[in-house]
Amino acid sequence: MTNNNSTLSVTFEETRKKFGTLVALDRLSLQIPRGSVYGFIGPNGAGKTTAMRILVGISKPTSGTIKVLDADDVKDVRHLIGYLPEEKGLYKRMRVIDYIVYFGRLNGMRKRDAIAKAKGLLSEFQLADWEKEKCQALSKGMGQKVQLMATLVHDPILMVLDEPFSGLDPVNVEVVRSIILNKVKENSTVILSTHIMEQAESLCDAVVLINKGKAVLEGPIDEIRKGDVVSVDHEGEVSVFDGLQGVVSVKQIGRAATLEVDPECDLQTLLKSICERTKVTQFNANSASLHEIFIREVGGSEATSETTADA
Amino acid sequence: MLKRLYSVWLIAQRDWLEATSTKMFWLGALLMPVITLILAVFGMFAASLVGTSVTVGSYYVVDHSNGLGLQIRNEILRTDIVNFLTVVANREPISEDEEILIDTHEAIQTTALPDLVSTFMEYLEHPQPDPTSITGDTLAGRFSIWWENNKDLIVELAPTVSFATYQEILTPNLTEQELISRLKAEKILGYFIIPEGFVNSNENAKFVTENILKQDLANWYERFATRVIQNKKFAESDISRETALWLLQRASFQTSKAVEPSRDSRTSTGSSPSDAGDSTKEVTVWETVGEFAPAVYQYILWFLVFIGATILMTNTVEEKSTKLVEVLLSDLDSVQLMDGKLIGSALTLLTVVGLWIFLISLPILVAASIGVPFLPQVAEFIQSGALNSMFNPLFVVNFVIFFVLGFAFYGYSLSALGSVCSNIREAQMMATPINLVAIVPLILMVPIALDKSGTLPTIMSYIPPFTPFVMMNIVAEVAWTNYLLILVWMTACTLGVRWLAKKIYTKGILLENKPAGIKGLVRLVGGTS
Repeated sequence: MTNNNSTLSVTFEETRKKFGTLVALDRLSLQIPRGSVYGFIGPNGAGKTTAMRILVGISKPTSGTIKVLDADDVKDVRHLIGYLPEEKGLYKRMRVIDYIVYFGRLNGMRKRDAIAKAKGLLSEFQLADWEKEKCQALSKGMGQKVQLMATLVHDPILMVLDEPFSGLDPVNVEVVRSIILNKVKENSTVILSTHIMEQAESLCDAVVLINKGKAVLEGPIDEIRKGDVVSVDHEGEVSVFDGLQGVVSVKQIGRAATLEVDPECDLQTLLKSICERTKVTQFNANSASLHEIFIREVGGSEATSETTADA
Repeated sequence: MLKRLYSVWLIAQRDWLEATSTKMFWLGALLMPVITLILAVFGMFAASLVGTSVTVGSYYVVDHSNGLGLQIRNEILRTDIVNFLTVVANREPISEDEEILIDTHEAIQTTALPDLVSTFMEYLEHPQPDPTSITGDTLAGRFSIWWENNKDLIVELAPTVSFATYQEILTPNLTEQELISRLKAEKILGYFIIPEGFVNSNENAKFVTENILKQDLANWYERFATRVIQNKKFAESDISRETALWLLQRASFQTSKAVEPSRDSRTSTGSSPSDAGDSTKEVTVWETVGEFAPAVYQYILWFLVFIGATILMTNTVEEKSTKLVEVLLSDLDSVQLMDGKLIGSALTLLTVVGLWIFLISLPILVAASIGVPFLPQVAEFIQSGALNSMFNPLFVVNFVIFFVLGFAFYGYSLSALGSVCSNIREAQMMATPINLVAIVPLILMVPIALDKSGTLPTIMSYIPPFTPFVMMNIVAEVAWTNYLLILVWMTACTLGVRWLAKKIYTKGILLENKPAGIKGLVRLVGGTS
């Protein structure tokens, strides 16, 4: 049964997925609120796609549960979900409008309604002139927009977008961003995965960082970024920061050091302590970017490693 | 439930529309009957060449039998004269004819053919009399001179005479070495060695040739040699040839077909089958052809099932490689997708069959409606009832039933295989064992048609991969109880294959790498992958 009045859109509870001996998703527990943009971030093969496939009902978890739009079985709410997979394909010989209408009808729309909606979307995406063209005539960017239209045509209240920005030019990235934000204004939920941390940072209300199938970090962006990073230009060695209270880690390239500091750390006291040890030429305090958090949590080498977990 | 069925229908409809909306589809569907017809005509033509073709050329006879070779030569000559005189007798002389032909024609009207042949043979048989002793005073003398000098005209008038095809080289005493040289140089087709005592034994009788597969000359010469030897034996036994042939006459039964007795014969009592004059009728060639209708249905069924299942497998691999299937599976169950694609392919195949029936029927219907007379063979075919055999409702209904079962069985199997493969080549490799199994009933199609109630067809009809094809061939001979049992069994097996295919498809379609052979497939079914 579904209860669309619930404040939660998706709940993962101890969800686990194994492929043979490979654990693609390891006891993932998440609560995704309704009317939010939620980001799945993580390196290649971390398990993002697996989580999304479970979410839309393509895969079944090995153990644990998942509730989508308050339904225990995703099949019951499929028509309320719009899914855009990472690798995108089109029926090349189909006309653009027929392709969009086809997916609308598969989700229970009447043909007449699907045609009307598809025409509206084509105008909105500035592809009205391509309505009767075959999909094979479209450029890559246009093709992706058509796929997104097919995801939106039946007005889903939960959109699951796997790497929605990949392959899009900046103009189309903005088009997709505005569509996502509009959907959220209508109290729809958008779950997306991305490698581009700046996009996740600017678009998502909350994120989960998945690495090796596990949720490493989870929560609202502001909370995740809590904790300061201090940039210090100085004339001493990196050892001058040894033993400073409140400093979690130090990286130094040349004369510029980046200090990760404890959120409770008093920056005035810290500056004073550093000045006592070395000559400081510049001192800047910032919140950590998602990119920095990602690198910190995942590690440089692992961030680009690939496994078959996303299969 | 209705919503699920509607989704299946949408998938089927899309696949059918996509398949049938290309020029290539219509071109292929239209060309197929034309190509089949051309191949059939070419095949018949080739078969007729193989059966009747002869090599024209010379031969030589090495005779160690004290005169049998000569007698065979004369028997051939006698047959040629009979053939020629028969032609002359049956044709009206024309003004341009030479006088001898007109005279011979007249002579045949007044003299019995065997007598005339004997008279002519006196002048022509070997060893021939001294040519100078032959005069033109008699018809036989004039005929023998004309016969020797007008071979081309004789061949033109009577193409069946032996020298139109084979000519014996009469050069005496050629050595074996010389004959072999001539053989190697392809100057002769072969030579016969007639051994001493050939009348009583074939030992050492040889036909030497370079082309051992070409037997028409040997068969032809054997026929005359047999006749000569038989005549000698009949003479030695003091019985006439006619009596001997009567003694040797084989018993034979005319293959006939039982027909419904007429009302009169049904009301009469005590009549034996022989009394009922209309209880049997002779079997025509076309009726024999009609008996093979189930085999034809089997062939078409096999062809459609395999073309369709292969197309299905290819589509699955293509959809997997373009990742479209992932979007579809977020809207549907894998089994809905498989069912939809299966129905779409079946509709495409039925469109092709419908088009073929239309293309074949159209000219016949048009010709019949505007009164164009049919070719005699076509008219005979229609009247023979073979058409009724071809479109017997029993065959048509079972064709539909076994098409559905067979196509589902193989379609689900190949879809599942396609789902675990990344490209067409991989899929074809994996499908090879299935294709090899499925070809068995096609290979055994004719033996099964000839022994429909035999042990082999009975056993094969219970083996699911063979059932649809074998049953199509033998359905008229299967008892109802067996028929129902087989139908239930095949349906259960098809549903079992669908269940297995669903297990493999659901996981396989999302795999980036195909599982390792049978073990990988078992792991997918077992759910451990």
